[in-house]
Formats: sequence, C-alpha cells, structure tokens
Amino acid sequence: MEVQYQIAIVGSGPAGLSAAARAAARDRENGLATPSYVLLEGFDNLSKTIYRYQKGKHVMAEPGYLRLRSDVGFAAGKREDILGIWDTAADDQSLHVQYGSEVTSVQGQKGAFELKLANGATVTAANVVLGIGTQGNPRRLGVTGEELPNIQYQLDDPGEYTNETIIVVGAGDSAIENALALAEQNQVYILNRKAEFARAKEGNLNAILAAANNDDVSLGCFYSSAIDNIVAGDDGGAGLRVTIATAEGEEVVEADRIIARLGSIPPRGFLEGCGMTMSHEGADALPVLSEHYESSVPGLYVVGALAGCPLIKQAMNQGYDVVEFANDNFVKPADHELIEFQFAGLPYDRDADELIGLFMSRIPMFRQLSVLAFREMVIESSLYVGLPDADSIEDAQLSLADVQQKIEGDETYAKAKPSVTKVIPKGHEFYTEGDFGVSFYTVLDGEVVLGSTNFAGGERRLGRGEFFGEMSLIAGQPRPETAVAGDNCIVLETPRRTILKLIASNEAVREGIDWVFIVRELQRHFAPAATVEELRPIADEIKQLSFKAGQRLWEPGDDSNSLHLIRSGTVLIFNEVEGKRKLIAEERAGEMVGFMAMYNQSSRTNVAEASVLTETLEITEEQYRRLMNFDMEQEDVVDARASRDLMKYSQWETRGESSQVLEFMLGDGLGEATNALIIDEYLCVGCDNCETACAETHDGISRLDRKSGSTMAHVHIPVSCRHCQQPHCMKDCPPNAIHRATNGEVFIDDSCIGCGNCQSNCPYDVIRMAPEAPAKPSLFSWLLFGAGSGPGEDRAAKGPEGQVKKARKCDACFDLPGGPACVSACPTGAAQRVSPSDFVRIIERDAL
Amino acid sequence: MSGNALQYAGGRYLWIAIGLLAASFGLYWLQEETTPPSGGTWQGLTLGIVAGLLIFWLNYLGVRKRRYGQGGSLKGWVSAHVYLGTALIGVSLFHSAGQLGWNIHSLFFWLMMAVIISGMIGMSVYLSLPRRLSAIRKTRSRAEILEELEGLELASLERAADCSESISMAVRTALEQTRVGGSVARQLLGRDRSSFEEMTSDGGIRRSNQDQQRLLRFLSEQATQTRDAKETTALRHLMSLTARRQDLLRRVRRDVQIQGWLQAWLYVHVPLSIAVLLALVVHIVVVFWYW
Repeated sequence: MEVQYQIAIVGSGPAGLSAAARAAARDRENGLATPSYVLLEGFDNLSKTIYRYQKGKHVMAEPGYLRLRSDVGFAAGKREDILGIWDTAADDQSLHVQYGSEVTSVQGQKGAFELKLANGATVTAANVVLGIGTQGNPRRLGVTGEELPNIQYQLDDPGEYTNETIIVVGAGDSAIENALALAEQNQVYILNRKAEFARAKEGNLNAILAAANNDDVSLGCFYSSAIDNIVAGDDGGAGLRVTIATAEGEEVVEADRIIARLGSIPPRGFLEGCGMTMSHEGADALPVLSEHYESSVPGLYVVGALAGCPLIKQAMNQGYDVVEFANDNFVKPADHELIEFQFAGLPYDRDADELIGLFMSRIPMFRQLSVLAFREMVIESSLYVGLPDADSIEDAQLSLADVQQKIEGDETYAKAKPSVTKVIPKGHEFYTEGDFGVSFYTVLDGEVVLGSTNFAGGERRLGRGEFFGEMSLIAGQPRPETAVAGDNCIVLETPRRTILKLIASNEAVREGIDWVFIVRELQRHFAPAATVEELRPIADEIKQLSFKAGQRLWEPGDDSNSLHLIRSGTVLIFNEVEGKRKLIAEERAGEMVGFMAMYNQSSRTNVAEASVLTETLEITEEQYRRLMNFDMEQEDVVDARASRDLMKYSQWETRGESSQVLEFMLGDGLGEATNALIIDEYLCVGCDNCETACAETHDGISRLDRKSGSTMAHVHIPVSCRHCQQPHCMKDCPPNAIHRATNGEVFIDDSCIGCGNCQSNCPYDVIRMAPEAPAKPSLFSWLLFGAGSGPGEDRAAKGPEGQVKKARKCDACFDLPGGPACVSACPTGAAQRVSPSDFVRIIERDAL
Repeated sequence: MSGNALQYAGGRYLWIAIGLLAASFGLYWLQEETTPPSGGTWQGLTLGIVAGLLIFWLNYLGVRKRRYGQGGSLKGWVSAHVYLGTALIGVSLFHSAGQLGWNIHSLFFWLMMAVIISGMIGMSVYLSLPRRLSAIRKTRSRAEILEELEGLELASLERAADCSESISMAVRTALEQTRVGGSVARQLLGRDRSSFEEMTSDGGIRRSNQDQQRLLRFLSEQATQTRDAKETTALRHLMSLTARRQDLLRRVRRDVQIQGWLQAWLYVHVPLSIAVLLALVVHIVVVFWYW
C-alpha cells in the first residue's frame, strides 16, 4: 500500500536534515508510531556536498550572531566531526531517511504531490520541502552539440578512462585536478576561457603549469579559448569533433570525451518543471519565495542554498522553521530577534513585522523585493536614527541599554554581536567627501543633506525613499560628496555585498540604482543646476556600454559624435604608430573621455582601450547640447577641463620611455589600484626588512612577497595587494568579512571562514590562506629549549597542523598610526606606496 | 623614484651634522686660552659626553630597526645615522684634542674609526650596487635565471647524447663540475672553480673550466674535426647552449657576489659596533679610575 506522507523532504543537506529532525520531533510530540515524513536523498550518505569536502576541512559556523534553531546539533569544527554529529543524530532520532532516492520530478498540488524517483518509485506527500542546493546542477557548456554522448559534468573515477583524448573545460581547481589525474593514462587538453589559471589554488596552479610544460605528460592547454560547437565524429574515429575558438582562430580537435567543470547553478529546468516561478531570466535565478519559504506552488517549499542561503546555520534554521510553517504554525523565524534589535530604537510603536511592511511600501525600489530578501537586507545592514538634541539621544540610548544588556547576557552573541539601532545627532556625517566606502544608504524617513562644491548651492536634500552612496558602489571611486544627517532621518546603511546581491537578483533595484547614478553623473559633469525631473528624459536615453579588458572604445578614423563618461574601470588612450603603442593618458571612473574630437567634430586620431572591465555612459553630441542648455556657463567649465586634458596628452606624447614604464605599471594591474607597493630597484638592497616588518605587525605572516612580481626599468611591483578600485576579492565572501576602510584600504576581519573564494577571485595572487601563527616564544626558551620560531624566523612555518586556514592579505596597516610598516621599515627608501595620481609624478621625476 | 637616504629631507641631517661639528670646534677652540686642549678640561669632557651619547644613539639603530609598525621612517634614521656617525670622527678628535698614542684609549678610537669606515663602505655599497644588480638581472629574479639554467642543462645533456663519448663526457662533467658560490671568500670575489674532464687514453683528465671558456674552446675544436653530420648539428647547438649558459652563469655569479657585498660589510660593522660600546665603557672607567 502506498503511504501518503505529510511532508516529503528532498535532499539531506543541512536544511533537509534539520527539517527531517523537526518533523520527527513533531511526530514524537504527537505520539505517532509511523513517520509522517520522509527524507529523500539521492546519494548513499547524508549531506553530499559536505561529505565531498576534502578530508579534515574545517567548517565554520557563520554568521556568529545567528542563533541555531534545530533538533540537530552544529558548531564550527572538522568535516568529520560535523558529519559524525549528524549521523549520530539521524540514528538516535531514527530519522526516516531513504537513500539512493533521487527525485526526478514533483507534480501535483498542496495535499497531493507526487514525487517520481530515478529508480522508478513514486512517493506521495501533502507538502514538499526542497533542500537540494545547487551542487547537483552543473553549469552546462551551452553550445550546439552539448547533448551528444560522452559529454559529462562529473568525474568520479579518473582510472575508468584509458587511451582516450579528453577535453577538460574549466579553469578552477576541480577542472585542474581532473585534467591532471586523467593525463596519466589519456591525452588531455584543458580549455581555459581566460589567459591564465587565476582561480586555482597555488598547488594546483603550479602542478598544471608544470604538466603543461613537460613534454612527457600528455597534457595540452588552450588559453583564451572556448568551445564553439561539437558534432559527432566520423565512424571509426574519435567520438566528437570539437571546434574550439581560440585567440588565434578556430581549431578542430577530435576527442573521445568532454568533461566540463564550470561550477554549479540552480536547477532551473527542474524547478520550473515543478511549476515554480523564478526571480529573473538569468541562469543564476532562484525561485520566488514567500516569507514562509513557500514557492509560487502552494505546499511546495524551498530552503537552503536554493533559497539564497548558502550558510549552513541559516539553512538549518530554515529547515526547522519550514516544517513548522508547513504545519500552519507560523513561528517567528530564528532571525526575528535580530530585526527587533535593529528596530529597537525607532520612534515607532509598532511590531517588527509591521515595520518591515511599512518600509517596503515606502520605498518604491524595494516594493518588488520578496519579504525574505528585504529582511535579510535589514539584518545585514546598520540602521541609523537621527535625533534633534542631546537629551533625546540620551533617552534613546537609555532605552537601548536594555537591548544591549540582553545581547551581552546571551551566550549566542558572545563572539559576534548583532547590529542594534544606532542613534545619531542631527548633523552626523555618514561619510566625508573623498572617503573610500562601499556601503549603500537608503533614506527610510526624514532628510539627509549631501554637500559638495560640485552642487549648485553647495548642497542637495534627499527625502524618504531616496538613496545615496551609489557612486562609490558602482564606480569604486571615493565619495564625491559629504552626507550629513538632516531632520528626523532614519537611514539604512547596507554593505556592498548585500546590495550587489540585490542588484544581481532584482531588476527593479538594479534599474533604480543605475538611473540615479546616471542622473547624478549628469548633474556632476554638465548640469549642476538641473533637477532630477528635468534630467529624466535625457537620462532615460543614455546608453550604458560595457567593454572587456583590451576592447576598444574607438580607433583612429572612427566617427566622434559622442563622448564617454567612465562609470567603472579604466580607459587607456594611446597613439598607434606602426603597430607600436604610445600611451598618452590613463583615465579612471568618474572621468570623461572623447570630448575634444566630439566638440571639434573631427574624427578620432587616437585609440581608447579598456584596461580592465570598464563601463561607460555614452553621451551623444545632441544630448550634450541639451545638457548645456540648462546652464550655458557650464560649457566654460567643461572646456577648461578638456583643455587641461589636452595639455596632459601632448606632454605625454613626447615622452617615450616614461610612457613605456607607465604602460608597464598599468599592464601589471596598477590601472585599477588605489594604493600599491612598488620597489625602486636602484635603492633596494634586498634586506627584506619590509617582509619582516609586515610579518611582525600582522600575526607573524607577511602579506607581501618582495622577490616575486614583475619588473620594468627599475620599477619592481612585488606581489602585494593593490587595494583595487573594485576589489575582486570582495565579490563573493560568504560571511562578508572583507571591508574597505575610509582611506581605501581593503581588509579582512576575523569572521573569515577560510573558504578561499577571495584567493581564487584575486587576479594578482596577493591573498594567502594560512593558519593562525603561534605566538613567538621568549628568546630564552627558544635558545635553550628550541621552542617555536626564533627571531626573524617565519612564525607561520611552524604552526600546528590542522588549524583553520584563514585568508590573509595586506591591509595597508590602516590601523597603525605610522602607516604601512613595509614602507616605514625600509632603510633605503626603496619601498614606496603609490596611488594612481603618483604614477605620473614618479615616472616624470625619474626621467629627469 | 625617490631620493636615497643621503638625500632624505633635503639633506637635513647633513646640516645637523655640520652644525654639530661647528659647535664641537667652537668648544675645542674655547680651550686654548687657558690650558692646553685635552679631554680633561670641561670643554673636553663635554665633548666626550656628547661623543659617548652619540655612540649609544648610533648603536640604538639596531634596536630601532626592529621596532616595527611604530611609524616614522627608518630611512630618516639611516640618514641621521650616516651623517652623525661620520661627524663622530670630528667630535671625538676635538674631544681628545688629537692626542693619540699606544694606549687603551687610542685602541678605542681606532676601533671606532674601523666601524665608521666600514659604515662608509656599507653606504657606498648600498648606493652603487643595487643599480648594478638591476642591470645584471635585467628585470628577472635570480630564481628565474636559475630555472633557465636548469633548462639549458637538460637541453645540453640531450644534445650531448648525439655526440661521441668524449664530447658527451666533457659536457656531462662540465655540468656536474660547474661551481657557483661556495665559501664566503669565493662568493665575494666571484671566483669560479668550475672544471670538466677531458677523455684521454687512460681515463679522464680534469681541466679548469673557468667561465666555461675551456669547454667552449673544446667544443669548437671538436666541431672542426668531426665528419658526422648529426654530431655537427649537435655541436652547433651545444655551443650556443654553452654560450648562453656562460652569460647566465656570469650573471648569477655577479648577482651572488653583489648580494654578498651588500651583506658582508654588516658582519664587520655590527660586531665592531658592539666592541666599540664595550671599549667606551672601558675608556670611561679607566679615565675616571686613573684620573
């Protein structure tokens, strides 16, 4: 007889396991003898993703301030220990797990879902909870012919294949590991979309480069290449004819097999097959969910990574809550308390849920967000409340003292404190013009005043629903204005990662921010006096362009009926004489290029090229004329700027070697740097005091490698963080541990979970994963008993095994009063820190 | 890109050192009207105290250098160290009124002079050698050069396999017996004790192969004698490989030598500085004991 379950849980990862444990607990409470739920797992072990972590990996339990609400235990520890706890819990609680039960489809509606399994069986349930994560769904090749046989996305046993020609696609660690293992018995080609293996761990990188350069290993590399199409090979020959688009043109390889390791994405086909609505059209879209994790199909719930929560603790909490929700017990989620803390100091007499609704309805851009996304945004943000005078601030702080006390007394928050309303006086500066910052601000109520000499009248007032800080977020430039708290303001400060996630997942948010960015750029450059309403028609017309590194904005002879405002990235302007480039300018985000030719109505005479991924706003001559109509005097300002640029260009044109050195520096990535270490080889005596100073001031681990790096003339750029305008490392940091200080220094805080994302994202290899270095022993005990490391020795080298490796990088000593230790400890002045504005000065002085 | 330590802050410490010398001379000059100048007058004693404090302060650079993360510029300290250290010669001579003889005090003076002169050598080494190092390496690190050398060696062995036994033995032993570095003296002098073995009727005879010159000559001689086409090509390749190795080995040897000099002076300067500190204590004790 077929059993109809109350809940079928799909996937036994943290979320699914926790859900099953909750369902089991409810069964016990209700005195049920047979389980009312089933946990379906396609693999033969619990939690496949974590099971597949490398042995001994330390698993972190971020965010620290979040309470664990689950019938299964979890705390930071080794992979083995955590899996052990879960296995024991599953046994002790006799969880009803059905292994080897991969679900291929979910059909039906609330009360009667039918789940088809790969083994042919069917399970029926009233409610379904999907906790399948994204790992099971590899990103596909996306080319014609990808449906052919022998194209696979997983490699379980490399020994299975011998004497085949195999193409491995991908540049990450799994691709490299697969390629190396297969090359022992097969002819292998590894196909890298980029020009180098920037994402791989150091060990893998060295191994693949050594193998590729060793004639005895049958492994070849294709760089800057992608598969164009695949067709079935002729009979008798290899199975696949693969056309590869390389930088030099097309190449055809006959291969037996293609193994693509391109990461994973949500299984859209499966989810849509279940009837769910997805949040957007992109490949990484997640399903649309209610605040109770219910998808657009009633009774079908989604939790865990697929609900946008990749962290284990969050997923486990969701697993617990979702079972309660499915039983119509609408408990407050575990993070509800965090929202209450956040709202504790607000001058409203309303409950947190109501306030969430109120704020969402007030801000047009956030109206289309899901409640879940907005809650997460609020929890991860800081909330500021502006009060008029000292008395009211004191009163507010007194009432917040209770909340603070509650947090102090709670063990959950011992290590990481949740954010509580921040009370500020009127006139408080959120940031000052020229500061670096990456957070984004939304005015929930009251008024905020932006002040800058660029504004007509010196200031601009923002009200409810408006936002600010978008310039630094998008362009990576210092703040262009000073932001001051006005009357009764309530402001939400959202960290970069959170807002970028919202931008990526929600069109309304992206368009809203983009639009304001354009309007403010137009005001800043051309029409300070024009109002937002007046600029709206022009802003709507303006084209946003994106250029890959090396792609050209224009070439000599091109028409010049427009100029470009650089929105992010860097543009190089050079002359090309007989194939040789001569750099004449480097322009960064916030600058304008191409004005003169447009103004003179001549065609382009030089080349403009993006040196890193660059976005620009293209403004046509007609649009420019309309902008000038707002204020004719502004034309003089633009003219003055253009003539200043022109003077700079002509100076550079005459300086051959200097422009070579400059181009080398930019080519080495300094084009996107804000603060880079360079070494003057004419002064460097090789004492390595810079490295020692760095290690001594940073837990015994040096964040710079003087000897490596590249050199041109006598400028050496060592491997050390350049504090990029748009830091690559900040891209996807799960605990949001990477921050930017007000002077631009990018640093990693203690909440790092050691996942290594930043290390793989950094194109300059400046992030090291290293365990905490042991304290230095006293000279006496080192000398007599050989304890630890001696003076000047690398402390990290003797660290105990098996500790958590955390990401370490240069923080430009932002917390040291004396500035960067590497520079102040250099006895000869060879080590110098430079910002882009210094490049020209350095090279110029040198030329004389 | 920026000035060296001597140019720090527009030569601020040069002017301070000149000022110190002028003041010292003033004190010395004040003495002549009364008693013959010596370390015993109040002026002489004052100069002695100044010189003694200066010695302590100069030695303190070793401590300051290791105080990391305190800010300030070590380059500034080095600049002051160099100028004031040089000025110490004048201050101490004014203090002793040029009285030197065969005693413990003069020993102290000459020890101090040795430190100062080693320091001057050090400074000139610091000022001149990094440029040469940069020219030798041609934007490459030593590790990269060594890597290329390794590749050349493998290629040489491969080519040598196509040649007669006497050639392949010469090439193989030349690679095995190529010496870079060695003892401190050899590193600093850049001496090359490479050799190779030339086949004779009764085994091999070891020949000096300084700068790989002899091997090159041997290979060129072989090239004019062989009639074997395969061997001729192999010899061509071997010669160009050896010439390339010669160039790289010269660079590495110079690199090792220069880096050696950049450090070697400190092995004189630092121990002697500590000796001077001790000698200073002895000098003070002796002077006041036997007053």
